[in-house]
Amino acid sequence: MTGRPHEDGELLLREIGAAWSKAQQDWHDDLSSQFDRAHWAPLAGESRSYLRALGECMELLAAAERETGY
Amino acid sequence: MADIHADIEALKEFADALGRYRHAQREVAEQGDYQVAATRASLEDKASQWRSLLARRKAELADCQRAAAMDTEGAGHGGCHAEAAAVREAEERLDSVRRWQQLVEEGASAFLGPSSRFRSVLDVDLPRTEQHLLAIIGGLEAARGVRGARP
Repeated sequence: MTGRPHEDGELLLREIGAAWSKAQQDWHDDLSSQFDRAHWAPLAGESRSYLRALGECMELLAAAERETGY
Repeated sequence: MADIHADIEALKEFADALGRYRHAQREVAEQGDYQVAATRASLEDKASQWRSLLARRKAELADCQRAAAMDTEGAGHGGCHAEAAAVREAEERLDSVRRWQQLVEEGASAFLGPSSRFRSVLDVDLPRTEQHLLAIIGGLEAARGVRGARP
């Protein structure tokens, strides 16, 4: 953990994305396509949305601490 | 049966990776929630400190103004400009902290939706996905076993 959770989360998402790409190299049938559409794409999309919101929130918190640190 | 083109070991590795992802992202989410709570507490602490300081500075200004009023000849009192400036500074900083508190509340409120959706993904959807993948792996192993048994 870096103390910047959105960056940790983005790294984890890149890692799981790489793991999925690797798995796909060895799995290319109808089930793979279904899994990609029904499970992987929603997971990746929700993860990206959350991490974007988390990043914005962390920026706001950092600004609040910085601007009130007299 | 549909054609099977899958390396079962690669799928098992991916299933394991999904489990690790779920645990690690849960820690990320908890860290995010913790930082929101920590900043709220920090701002409340700063607001409290500035409120106290403002009250003390106002009292010092009032003392100064009383002393100035008693100095009827006006010869020995240097005025209360410094005390008045100190009060203004405390008021401005307290206002600033309050504005940031409001902004943080708005930001935390906007974050609540994505955060609770992601929690649901981690707690409900992702375990189902892992179970689904394990079922696929089980099916592939069973199919391979059947095929392997054929002459």
